[in-house]
Amino acid sequence: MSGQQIGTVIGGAIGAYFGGPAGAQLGMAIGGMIGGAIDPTKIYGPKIGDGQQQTATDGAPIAWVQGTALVAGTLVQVSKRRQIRHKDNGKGSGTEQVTFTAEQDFAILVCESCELRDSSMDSVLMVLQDGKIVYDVRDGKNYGNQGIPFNGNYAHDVASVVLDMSDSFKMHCDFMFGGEDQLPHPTLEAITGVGNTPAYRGSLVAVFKNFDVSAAGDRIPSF
Amino acid sequence: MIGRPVADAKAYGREPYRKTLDGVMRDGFGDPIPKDQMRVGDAVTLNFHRKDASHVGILGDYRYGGLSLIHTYALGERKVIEHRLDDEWAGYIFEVYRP
Repeated sequence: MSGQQIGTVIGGAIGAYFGGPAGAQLGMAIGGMIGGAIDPTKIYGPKIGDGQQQTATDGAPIAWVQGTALVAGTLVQVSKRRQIRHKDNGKGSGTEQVTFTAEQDFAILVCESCELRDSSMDSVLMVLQDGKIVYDVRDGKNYGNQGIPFNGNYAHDVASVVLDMSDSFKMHCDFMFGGEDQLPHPTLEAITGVGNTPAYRGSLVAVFKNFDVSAAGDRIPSF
Repeated sequence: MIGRPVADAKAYGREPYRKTLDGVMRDGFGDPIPKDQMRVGDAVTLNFHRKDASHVGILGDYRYGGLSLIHTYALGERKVIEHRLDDEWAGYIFEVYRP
């Protein structure tokens, strides 16, 4: 019960004792004001919490794929969640809006992709995020920016291109195809350090960088 | 770490102001050298999706061959980190300075 509610009840009781029904009404109003001033009602907006995440299970089998198959991945590495502050000055409206999003780096082991066992994967054709297609490079699909192949680096001209769905997804995701000369991914090395990070040779791993988990329901979505 | 005295900048802004960072680097190390000559121990400036340098790092000796990048990165673990300098990170390098 808030201070305003407690003050209303007490003020109403005192007012009724001294002034009858009219006094009760006046007492409730004054009591509510005093109670509200002493202990104001606080309304908290949503905060960045720890929503339900895609989890990793000890002993979960690694999928072995022949041809093309849809497989669920296992989370193998996760960074801390970090809060990103966005400020909008309202373009002269006098109201400044501050919003927060949360980003996280993580890696999902998809399936075996091993040169030594002749099970190398050639490409990832489609990715589903919580059941929705977010990446699709199958034949006949409109991948890329009007036919310009994506080179994986938008460092200098990110504003000059219009990104389609798959390009946007690829900006925050690298696929590692498990080659025997594969080196650890820099994003994962930033989490666990050089020398402590597996290269994931022999496995197909998707590495997500600066992934906006707040847009995905405040959690790492299921892929 | 780089074997040179470093002047303390007391007015460190969140964003580099009008190429201030480039000026500080030139004052300390002279003119930048070509990117294809970069090697272990060089100081580098980086830019992320912008025209001017906004970040500084040091090139390290990556234990599995090639170069690594040592830097503090607010979007990462919020500490000094070292990782491999892959093509994407090499693309962020703006200028290279030799101490």
